[in-house]
Amino acid sequence: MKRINFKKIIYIGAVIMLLIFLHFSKLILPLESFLLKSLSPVMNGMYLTSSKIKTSYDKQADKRDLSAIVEQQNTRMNQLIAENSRLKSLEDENRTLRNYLKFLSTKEKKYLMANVISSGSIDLNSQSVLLDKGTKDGLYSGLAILSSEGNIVGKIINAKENISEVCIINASRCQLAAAIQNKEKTVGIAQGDLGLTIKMEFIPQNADIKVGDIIISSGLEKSIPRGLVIGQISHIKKESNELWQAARIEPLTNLEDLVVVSVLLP
Amino acid sequence: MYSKIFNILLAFGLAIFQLGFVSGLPGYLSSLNLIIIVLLFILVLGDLKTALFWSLVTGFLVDLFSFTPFGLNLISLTITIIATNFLLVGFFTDRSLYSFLTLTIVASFTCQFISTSLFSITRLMDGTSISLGSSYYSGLVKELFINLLISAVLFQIVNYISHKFKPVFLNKEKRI
Repeated sequence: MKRINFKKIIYIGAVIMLLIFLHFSKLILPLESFLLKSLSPVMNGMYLTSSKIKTSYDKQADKRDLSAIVEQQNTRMNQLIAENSRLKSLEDENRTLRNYLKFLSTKEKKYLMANVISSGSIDLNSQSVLLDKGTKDGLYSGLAILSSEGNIVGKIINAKENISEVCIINASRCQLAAAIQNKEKTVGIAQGDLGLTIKMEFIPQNADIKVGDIIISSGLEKSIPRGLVIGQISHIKKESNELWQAARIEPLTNLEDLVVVSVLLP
Repeated sequence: MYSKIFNILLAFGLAIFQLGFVSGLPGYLSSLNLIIIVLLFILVLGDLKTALFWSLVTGFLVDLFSFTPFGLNLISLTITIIATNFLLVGFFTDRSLYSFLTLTIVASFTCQFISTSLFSITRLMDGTSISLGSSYYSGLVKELFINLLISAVLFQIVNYISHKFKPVFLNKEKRI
């Protein structure tokens, strides 16, 4: 244990200033790129391990009655099978009509797979995850991030050469232009709530919404097309003396379990 | 020279472990700031020079993987080590558990305070501002709690192995 002297502080300050200067002047860019590229797979491996620990922990902590859930899911699955067969016939019909009209197919989308390498820095200001792809791979701010089920789970908010920062839809600072799949197709903003759920506020009082309604992306954001599923309404807050109603949205994907995601390219 | 390279590799390992592994852990564990704790151990068990060297290397790497302005973690970690050393040399000299836990609280809080202040300044310079919501404060409390807990556990382990620290309670000697 030694007392720090003034000379040493100046020396340390000079080293920090030099590093910052070298970074912004891009003189150490090759070194930085090398470090980012070579360390990303290691970080991904570590993240994969901690993600497995988290998953098994969540399974242990989950004390709900599984048999009741299975029964509920079976009923829901039967409903969905019926709905799916109806939609398939509609899709076939739609394809035939599009062919007649020579429309371009809107379903063909370009994706880029990316690995999650970290879920946040050491400072509390970042509530995001990092991907191992960046501007070099054609990513930029505003692109939608999809889960393996095809649901939207967030969007890119920052991108560097080799990595990108993604805000997950339940993070407080994450906002998405959303629409409710009801008769009126009500549009609004879905915003993360303390990293736990998603809320949608300022829905007109006269809009007919109910628990279970699906929330999709509205297509009002430049790089995010309409129709990507965000979640479903789990709770509605409606007061007769208020101008607006609010809804709590439950995401259909486990947002804690993202290891590989796909980036939807325009 | 070889010890410097060895230290750089270890510091890189620590930063990667924090960003890749710790951040993905469940519950309160994801709030753990292992970098601060390890730097404190180096400061108390080793020397200031090594602690500062580690803070520069880990800060540099954390900044590379961070989207906050470059240098923010570098500066906050270094100032935290200097401030903690000031307290260690001047006030908490006995290397007891209580001193160590107090230093952990001070270091964790100082690091967050400096990084948030610097981040706010950079945002103000850009013409925007940051609002610290309840998630920030709850995150800070979680971090302080888990840092204290892990520090106490590591303290006992290190004390058991090396006896460089003082035990929690002083043994009463029998007087004749």
